[in-house]
Amino acid sequence: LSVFRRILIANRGEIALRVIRACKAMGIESVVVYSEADRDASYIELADEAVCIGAPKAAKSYLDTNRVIAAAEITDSDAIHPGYGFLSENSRFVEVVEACGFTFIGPPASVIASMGDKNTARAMAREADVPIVPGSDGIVGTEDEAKLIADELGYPVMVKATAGGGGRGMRLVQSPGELLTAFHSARSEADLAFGNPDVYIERLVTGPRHVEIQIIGDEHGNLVHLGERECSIQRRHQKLLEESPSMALDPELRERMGAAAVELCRRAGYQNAGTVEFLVDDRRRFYFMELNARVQVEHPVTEMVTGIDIVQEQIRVAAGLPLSFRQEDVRLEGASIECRINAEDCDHDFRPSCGLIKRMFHPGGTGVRFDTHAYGGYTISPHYDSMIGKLVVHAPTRDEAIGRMQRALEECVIEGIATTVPFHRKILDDPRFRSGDYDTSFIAGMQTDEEAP
Amino acid sequence: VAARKQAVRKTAAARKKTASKKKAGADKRTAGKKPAARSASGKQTAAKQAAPRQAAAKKPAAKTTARKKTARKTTSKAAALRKPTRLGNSALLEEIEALAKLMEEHALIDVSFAVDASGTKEIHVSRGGIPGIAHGALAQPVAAPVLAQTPASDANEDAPEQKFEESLHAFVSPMVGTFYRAPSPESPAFVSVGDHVEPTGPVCIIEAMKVMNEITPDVGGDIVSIEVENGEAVEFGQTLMLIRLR
Repeated sequence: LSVFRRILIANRGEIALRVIRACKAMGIESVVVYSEADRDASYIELADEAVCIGAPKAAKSYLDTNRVIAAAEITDSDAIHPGYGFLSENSRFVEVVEACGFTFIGPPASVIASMGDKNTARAMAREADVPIVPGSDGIVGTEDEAKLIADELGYPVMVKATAGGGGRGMRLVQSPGELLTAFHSARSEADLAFGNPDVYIERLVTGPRHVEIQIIGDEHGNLVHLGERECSIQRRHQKLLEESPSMALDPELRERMGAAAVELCRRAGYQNAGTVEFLVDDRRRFYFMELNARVQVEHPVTEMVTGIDIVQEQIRVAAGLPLSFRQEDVRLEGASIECRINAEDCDHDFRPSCGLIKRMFHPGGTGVRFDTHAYGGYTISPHYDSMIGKLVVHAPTRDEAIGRMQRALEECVIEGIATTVPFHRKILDDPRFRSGDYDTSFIAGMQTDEEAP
Repeated sequence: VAARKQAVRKTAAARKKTASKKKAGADKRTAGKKPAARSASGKQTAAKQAAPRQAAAKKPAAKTTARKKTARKTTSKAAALRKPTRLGNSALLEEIEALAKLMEEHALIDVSFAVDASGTKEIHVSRGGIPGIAHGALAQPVAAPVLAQTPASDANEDAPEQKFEESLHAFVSPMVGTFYRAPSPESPAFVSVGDHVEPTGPVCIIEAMKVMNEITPDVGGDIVSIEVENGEAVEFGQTLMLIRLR
């Protein structure tokens, strides 16, 4: 049974190291590509080969298809693992990889293309009977249309700019009397901010939690879900802390959400690892948001509770092997939490904090896993993402996992730069977090509380 | 004065590049004979093996440079202050401070700064070849040929200064791929050691994604050595040839 002989990793940092480790475990040789900015990073030494492909700027190295393919050619690699970010969800890249005779470790190009488009993905969800947030079918152009749709949906509703982002061009409407003002102000704000006044209307999801389902499939028609990850601890749509299982789900809801995710992926012709993101409201109704066609940053949380190595499984199914487990073999055991350790200054609006790590102590011990490429003497370059590691714990219960994470964060020493470690300690101390009853407004609420006397 | 300053900055930047890349070039020369990838053991590329050495080599030299810099800075400041000038001392000091900072940034080791009675400034900066340098840790880098190493694609911005007449230029690969000396297996090589080349015609081919890319050097001069074997894999920034500038 031959898997691959040599895999090229088209990524950097923590996830490159993660894939190197999976390769080593499977007896596969690994090749990393790197930019001049990563020349001195020590994870590069762990790969069997390393090829410098360009300048620090990602567009001239990690994002350049031609350079990555050329590196795969000169190293005689047979497959390419894209990690997350960079080229991982670029369907054109996947096509080139395959046209050049390499195997892409991820879903087929066609699936990436269709799922990358929000409208296609929503349409696919509708076909698969997967609930989506009820709303207008596209742009709402007139006052009359707006009234009609809002009445149909039931208040409260959200008016949202199609080109929107960061809360601009977005209005909450509690009652019919507020609708027209909100409609017009959202339009003019969107026009000013994005040069496009188009808006749509959605029913407000109250008390939303971001819960996602990990799925994985092979080319033999096996498609399995690995339970959920609770990702509601977010700051400006950036996840900071994830856990599994979610306190919002019970076995029955998990089963329904898992089945919905699998059905959607089956219809999309999905293979390899992917994540279906849902919103769950305060009445435990769930709505499809989007499908992420890649391995995700927070995949270790699922690995901890299921005992399944997602990256190794990705490699196996990409090589054409069947999944090594069936749905009924998947069990969630205990609780896992992941804290993203970012080089960011939480006292100054989370601005990136680059530079030399003077000293670093890696936390460890029972049930602690620290996936990081950083070390004392490592310099965080301003060219890339600020995430320098993922601290993950696993324990029999959620309370024990919280305790374990508190210990691990206490042990974690990173000197010379500012990190999110102190912020994570605050989250873990928060009574709302500890109760498990929180939604996506958690961090905003926490910061407001702090400002109050 | 502004234009002159601009010129100084540019020279400083160009020379910094020359200086900092010098060691990389020198190291790669020793390691470059091994195939870049696909080494027999399947363990690490030549360039990668060179990297730690390069880092190690950089340190002592940098330290010496810094020390040298400080010394020079003091003397320049003292000398300038003695000169009669229309500028107030504080304004002059500020200018000198700015220059010192520039030296720091660009690893310069010599700056002479003169102001005549009319307020016209004469500024000269250099990175090597000054008296009294041929001892201590700096002796070696100075004795070694000065290498300017820039990817061919950036040729225009980084063309070395005319002043380095006797210097060697490391012509590096602008891309990842397989190096070929001839357009086809039957054809003669584009160039050989001793040939004069100009930055107008191809000197080698790098094959990437089944495309034969003709590569033109970023400078003109005489080929002193060809650092990679025909058919060898090369990575971005790897030295292909050493060219003596005329």
